[in-house]
Amino acid sequence: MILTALADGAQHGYGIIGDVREISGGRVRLRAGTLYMALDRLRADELIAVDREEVVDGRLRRYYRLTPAGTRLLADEAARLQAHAAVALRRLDLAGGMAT
Amino acid sequence: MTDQEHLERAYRRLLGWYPREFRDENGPEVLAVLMAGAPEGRRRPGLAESADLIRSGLWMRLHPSVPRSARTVRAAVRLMYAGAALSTVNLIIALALIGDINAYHLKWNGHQLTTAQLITWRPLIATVVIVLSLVPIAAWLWMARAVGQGRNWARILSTVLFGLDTLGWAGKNASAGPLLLALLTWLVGAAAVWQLWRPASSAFFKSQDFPDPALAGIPAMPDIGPGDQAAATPHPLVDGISPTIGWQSRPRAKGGPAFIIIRRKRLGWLKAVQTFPATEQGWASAWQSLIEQHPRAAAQVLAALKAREVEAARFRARWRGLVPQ
Repeated sequence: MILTALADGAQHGYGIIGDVREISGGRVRLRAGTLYMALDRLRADELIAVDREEVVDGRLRRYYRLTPAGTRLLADEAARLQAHAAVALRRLDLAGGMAT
Repeated sequence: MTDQEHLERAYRRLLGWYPREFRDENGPEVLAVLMAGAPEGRRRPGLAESADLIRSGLWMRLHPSVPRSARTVRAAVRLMYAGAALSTVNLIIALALIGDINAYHLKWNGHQLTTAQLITWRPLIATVVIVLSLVPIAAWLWMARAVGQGRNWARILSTVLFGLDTLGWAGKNASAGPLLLALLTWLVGAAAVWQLWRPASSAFFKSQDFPDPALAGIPAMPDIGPGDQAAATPHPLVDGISPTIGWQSRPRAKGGPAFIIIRRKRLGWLKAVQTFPATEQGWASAWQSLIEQHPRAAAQVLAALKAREVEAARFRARWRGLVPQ
């Protein structure tokens, strides 16, 4: 989810929370504790990296972006999900077709 | 105190659950996100929110994120968790065997315990067994955490602990089951120690040695101009701070020119307290020593070094202008 939020370009923590909510249609509300723990882990795994730091209203904002490894992982994962979904849709369609 | 200040203080307290390194780097930002996400007029963090912060903080403390690039250290940390798991198995077995205290006693002391003795001693023995088994589990987890955070002392201490465990083998005469488990645990420890001392791990620990992230890395070795090497007295590259870093030209017999750590004694007398060879390596060591002794001074020296660099560049530019090439 966090990787998806970063696929569009660099984002900061608060932006990711909003983006994840939007992507999930309001179902997933990331909490700050979970988010920063995940960011820390993703950074250690070198899937994301700090893009830049900005000071807004005297507070530091760190922007994260996907690394090439992160992009690859996200693409693989998305392809896998898409394949699953395709199979599921095909079978449902088949089942529906037989019923009629 | 306003509602907002009240809330911010509560959040700050909750952030105390996180490891210090994380807090130093991300604390203000997490706080800003928490504050931005809080509804108007709220004075206290919600229960779920507090639980989330505590859970994440504890998890990060227990399970430090080692960079992927430090593959060997990651492997060592994983092995240490495996060691902790094996020690837990050991504890469970020991608890299961407590029922057999009488058999043990017979084996070691050659006579049966009376029922009364058994009843009196069993709880005490059980407590001792549990406590003694918890110590290695705690040690594994503690070492895994400290090693993951790049603490070099943890690398040394875990090696020492492993050595002690190895020495313990001398007096061992247990039955096959526990022996196999102990051997397995020992092998895990051996593998972890091996991973810890591979060159790739050493590089990681070296890079983690700097206490202040702002001071990570070593500034470029300064050019020593003719004006800097005139005298044999300690010459601070940046004056007005104590301790500071400097330069001293010495006769070859005494080790040649050197980078030094200078302390200003009373009456303004400068004294070289530490000496390093005037090489890149020496410069790096001198810098590291300064950071360890006085991080704040190091930050000031760093700023001054940058100013000096700018000055030197300006001087070089002017010099080039004067001499046609």
